[in-house]
Amino acid sequence: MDLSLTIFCMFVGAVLGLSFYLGSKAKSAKGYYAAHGEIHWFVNGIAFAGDYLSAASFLGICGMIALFGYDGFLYSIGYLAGWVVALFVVAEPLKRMGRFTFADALDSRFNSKGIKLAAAISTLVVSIFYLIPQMVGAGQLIKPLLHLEHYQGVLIVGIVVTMIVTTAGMVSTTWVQFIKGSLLVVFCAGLVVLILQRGLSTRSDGVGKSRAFKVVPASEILRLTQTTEVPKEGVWAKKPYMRLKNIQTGEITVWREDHAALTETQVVLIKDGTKFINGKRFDPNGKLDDQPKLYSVGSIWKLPGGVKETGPLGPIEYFNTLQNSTVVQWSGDKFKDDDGTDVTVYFQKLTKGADLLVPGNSGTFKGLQQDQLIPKINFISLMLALFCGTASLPHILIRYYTVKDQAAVRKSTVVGISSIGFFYVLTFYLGLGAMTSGTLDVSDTSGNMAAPLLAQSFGPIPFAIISAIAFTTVLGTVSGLIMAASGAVAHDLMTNFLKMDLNDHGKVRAGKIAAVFVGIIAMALGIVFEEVNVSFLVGWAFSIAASANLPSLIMLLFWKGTTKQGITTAIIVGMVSSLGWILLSADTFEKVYKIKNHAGFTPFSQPALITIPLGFIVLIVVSLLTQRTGTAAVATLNRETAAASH
Amino acid sequence: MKPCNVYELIKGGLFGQRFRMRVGGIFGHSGLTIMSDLGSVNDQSNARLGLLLFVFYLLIYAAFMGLNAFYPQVMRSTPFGGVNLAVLYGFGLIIGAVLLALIYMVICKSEPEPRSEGK
Repeated sequence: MDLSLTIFCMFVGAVLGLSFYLGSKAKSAKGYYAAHGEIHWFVNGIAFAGDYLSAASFLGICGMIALFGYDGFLYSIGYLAGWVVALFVVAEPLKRMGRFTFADALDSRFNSKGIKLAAAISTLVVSIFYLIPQMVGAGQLIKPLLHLEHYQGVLIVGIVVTMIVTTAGMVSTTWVQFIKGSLLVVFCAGLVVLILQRGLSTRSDGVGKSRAFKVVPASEILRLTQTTEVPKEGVWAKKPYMRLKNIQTGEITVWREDHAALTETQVVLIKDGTKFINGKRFDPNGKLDDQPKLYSVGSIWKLPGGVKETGPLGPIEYFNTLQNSTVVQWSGDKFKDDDGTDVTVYFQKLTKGADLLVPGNSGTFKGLQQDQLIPKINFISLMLALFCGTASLPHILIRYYTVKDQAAVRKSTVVGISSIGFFYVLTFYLGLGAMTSGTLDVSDTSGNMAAPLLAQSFGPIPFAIISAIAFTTVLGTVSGLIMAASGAVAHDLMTNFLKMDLNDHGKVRAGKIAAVFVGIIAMALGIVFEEVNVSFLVGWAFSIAASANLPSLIMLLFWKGTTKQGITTAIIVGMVSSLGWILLSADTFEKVYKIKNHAGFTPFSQPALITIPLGFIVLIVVSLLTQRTGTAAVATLNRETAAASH
Repeated sequence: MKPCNVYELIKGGLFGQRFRMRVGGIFGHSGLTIMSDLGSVNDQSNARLGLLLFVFYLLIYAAFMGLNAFYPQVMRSTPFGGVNLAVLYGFGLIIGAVLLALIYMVICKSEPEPRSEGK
């Protein structure tokens, strides 16, 4: 067993062992669903971070920054801003009103079967959509570390997490999240210190599996490379590439025409089922170390002042220097050759640092630098979803019930915001560090492996530690999500909606059985969605959560006229409209259905700008139409409360 | 249920006595009624402070979205340390949220008795 794998197994084993030990005493329903309400506020605060800083935050954001610069940081900003809504508006009233789940709080003044059902379904839908990116991230982490396939990684995570949840519910989940949250923040801070110490350099050879790629004047290419040009025929005639045949070896290389220069590329061919990487045959049955590999990429082309390396940089200086540098980025071009060969050409793009440190480089945000209105609306809609989504995520909301009172809720949320905010500041350095450290996998179009590969540039031990932390990251978040979903099924649906007569032990058993089913669904979806960037997928969950849950939460807190019919309808309309919008959007056609250049059936891809206000409007209109019953119910409850308090 | 006139309901219900969230009340001492009305006076005071801080942050966040969407060139300017406004504003939003959360925790009043064991 190699060193990385040993460290990885030790880390994961220690985390699991500790969580099982600490969680072994939770036997009752209150213990299983809410950890007896006895978690210390500081532990709960860090567990908030452990719960929230998911694979999307760690792998997805770092990957997106590594590939597109500032665009990934927009997610960091939006995810953190959402905590402002959670702390200032939702946290304390929700604690006052609820018991185990978000549905309890919504239903606290109505005792409505409709609310219970709608809230439980919404919790399930949001949790499952949030589970998809976590499982995708897990599968991708396992690939380079254990040399297993994506689906095997997904299955390992699914089984381990289901074990955590079914063993001791919220107590063990909390401890896994606490340990993972602490480790993630501390080790990422360490990694950022190493990035700043290393500074920036134009040296791209000798780090990992990368090497310097050539850029040659077109007029001298044949002489300098000792090659002859292969005639441009068929599909190659329409492409900006020149194929050169080495005079001595006969090896063919592909160069991209870029103004007066030619830049070296990397090429993958699949011909009659056989794969060729940079001209060399890949043997699927051969030893892994002997196989041809694509070179790692990501480097600086030119630093300010013409220096080769900067030496250690301060946190502000790092941005300043990068802004005035030129970065080598890579893109892929997939097409079929005339003889049916699948060709993928990976080519270099020189990009100014100043362009990477403003929004608009990724497909999601590219319209921001243009004049059309629709991409701008799309951007605002996504940022709105991130802002409103956090306070509506069921797996975050259930954590308010694991501490004893409102003051503890407040303090733990502040601890959560502080640690999460600190982490999101780190993500920018981690992403940019990965972008320039020559460790990116050129074929990883999602960028999800950028952070662990960055750690690899500092040696095998940091790589193993960061991979293990990323793995526990997935475990922490997935266990929270499965807890939320199992609570929705067992507590909201079976006990409260169907009025099944379950004793305390029965409630816990129902929750565990539900957890197993949700775990199986999560594993299946994690395998299906392998190739999609996890941040993009999390954007979906936020949109659905914000559209389905936020209008009801806010109006219940602030409008006396809210009725049970209003809440039920708003949840269903918000959920169905946002989900439908997402499934019919152009982004989904391209990234999930793999249908290119389809305009979709919605004017823009992100639904929140329309579906959140729609949820509010539906709630207000339906509540007004059913006002008499609703007001009477509130008045009755108020009378009862007043009587009880005297 | 009696047949109802939507106009009357909107007039009387949404903008009349029954609509109890008054934004003006956020900044003063009158008007804001948190509908989780089982809350104490301290809860009301905390909620008012929370809403004030929320509205403050929302305005800054909205300005960030607006600048990025409609004036992207402004984000390229470098007002401090040779670092552009996009980076500074982004960090400002994250650090600002943490600072506001700390301010909230310091100012908030805690309830005198433990009373939230659920229902």
